Amino acid sequence: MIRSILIVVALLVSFTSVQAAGVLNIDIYGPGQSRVNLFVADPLSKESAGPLGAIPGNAPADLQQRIHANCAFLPFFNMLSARDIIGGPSPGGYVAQNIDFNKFQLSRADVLVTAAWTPQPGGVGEVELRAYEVYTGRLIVGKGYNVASQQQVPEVAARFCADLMEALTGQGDFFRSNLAMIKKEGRRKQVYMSTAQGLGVQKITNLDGICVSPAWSHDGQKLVFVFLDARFHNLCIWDRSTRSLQTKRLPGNTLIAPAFTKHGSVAISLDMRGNPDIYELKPDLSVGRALEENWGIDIGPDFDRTGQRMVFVSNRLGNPHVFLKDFGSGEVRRISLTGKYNTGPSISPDGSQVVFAQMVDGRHKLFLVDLASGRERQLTFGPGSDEDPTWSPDGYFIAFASNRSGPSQIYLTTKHGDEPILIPTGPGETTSPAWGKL
Amino acid sequence: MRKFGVFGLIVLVFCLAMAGGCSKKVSSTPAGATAAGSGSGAYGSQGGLTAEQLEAQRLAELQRQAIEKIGADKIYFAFDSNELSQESRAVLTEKAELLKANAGLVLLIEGHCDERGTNEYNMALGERRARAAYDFLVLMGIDSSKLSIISYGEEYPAVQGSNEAAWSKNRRDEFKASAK
Repeated sequence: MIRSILIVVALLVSFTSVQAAGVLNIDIYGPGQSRVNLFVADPLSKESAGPLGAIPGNAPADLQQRIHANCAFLPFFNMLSARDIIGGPSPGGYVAQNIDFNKFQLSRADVLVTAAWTPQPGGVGEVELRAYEVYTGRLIVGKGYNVASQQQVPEVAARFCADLMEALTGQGDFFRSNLAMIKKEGRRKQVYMSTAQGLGVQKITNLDGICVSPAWSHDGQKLVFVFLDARFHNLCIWDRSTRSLQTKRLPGNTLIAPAFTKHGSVAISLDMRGNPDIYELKPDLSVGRALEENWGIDIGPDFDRTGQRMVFVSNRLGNPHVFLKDFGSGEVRRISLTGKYNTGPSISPDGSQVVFAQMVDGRHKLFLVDLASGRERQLTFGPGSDEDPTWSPDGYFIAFASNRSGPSQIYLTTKHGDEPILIPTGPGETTSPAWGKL
Repeated sequence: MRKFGVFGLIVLVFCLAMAGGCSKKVSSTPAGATAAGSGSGAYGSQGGLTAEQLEAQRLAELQRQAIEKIGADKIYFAFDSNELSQESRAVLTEKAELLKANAGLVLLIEGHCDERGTNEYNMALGERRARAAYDFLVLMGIDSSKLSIISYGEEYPAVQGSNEAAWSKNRRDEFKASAK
């Protein structure tokens, strides 16, 4: 929706978008994630390189604040405030030759973001955003945007931050992805979605009952979930482009935790044989082949990007544990090796790691297992229960639902177990995040 | 629903008592006299109803009582378990008798869980709990076509709270009988 109304054009201004080769590089996947200090300077006038006059809607300050807030989601950034800058926060200019990099070096800033605005009659204005490596004065990213209205400011901030993150880490999809989630409204539960930063929250369903277990197709175009009405479980598929909802009854009584396969088909647990087994549905949503059948409970399939690996939960050994099925070899093996209650697995897009919730002293905490080494480690700690983990498309972030601060909300951590950050999606009990492409 | 049924019953009894009281007043005719309209012609068509209608009313009332009784007692489970306790079996046996005595009833069994498990696993566990009661009733001779199940997982707790007192009341099967 945001995209459809946005007329912002990424202007190729006099400078080009530059990734400073070999300058500042952050390995977000490696074991020793480095942290850099980032400062977002006050917006300047492009004409005078000095203080900015009034621009309708206070867009410059809004953009500055949003870039700051966006970058604060990235655990490898330590955000500096104006009082951290020795000698005052003004950079003196917005291009390298005019910037006093020394004081930012003294203030231990590693990256400096500048904004230069040109007011525009009939619109908000044009803004040039630049990120510099303070130590070398090299340009990391430079982009120009034509901001036609105040409503476009969040999108401009997201696009710039995507480019900045990509220049530093090779991945910017965090700012190009979204989350579906379930929000409780009285006795009903509805499906909502927002950006991964919690912006643009929109209600998708208005059904008379309980919606559970949303999951995106791998291309981010379709959302599947289960709807419980007064009498039946129903499969629902929401098409993002047409905003239409398809509802279908399936054989059996109980529909649990659907997911899309790599090829766009739906996998879901059905109890046709008296206990939940995992089936793949045909394109017409009739029941196709069994992906996993067992005497016990088999639920919660999730597939890697190659479609070769599926994780799921089974109680075939007595307690609920996480299992991995390799479709190439047909091998099924248990991968949660500790604890007695392991559920809600999500496999990383590259199929190398699995995050799941383990019950520890009556509460759920997130654990991550590396499939190559089999090593398992706890990712989240503290009060409350952490449930329903979901990988970001870039395989770096993990969103989950937690009641650590009261009613359940969506939080963000990483594969390294960085301190969870609240994703503000509005009031009301919020659960079951599902990460998808924007 | 059940509360309304009990309340309705109380109101009904009260009205009948009042009606009885009133009829005593208006029927204070002299001994030996015959009250108008109390002849044999009026017998069996009270309020204009035929005998068949009265019988249907009586059966409907019995069925209503059976629905209420079947719905009254829930059965409870241990954490992460769908095993029926001795007490649960006794409760289900009583329900089976009521279903046998009221052939016109069908039964929906709802499986519920406490909040401690995770949502999706609880949906499977709720199914197992509902199915445990279903299987038991079939063993007791109830036609499976009259039985259906649904799992609500942890979505509809009977009692709010995050303690064992609440959890133990939420790990349950509920029973919703209705006329076919």
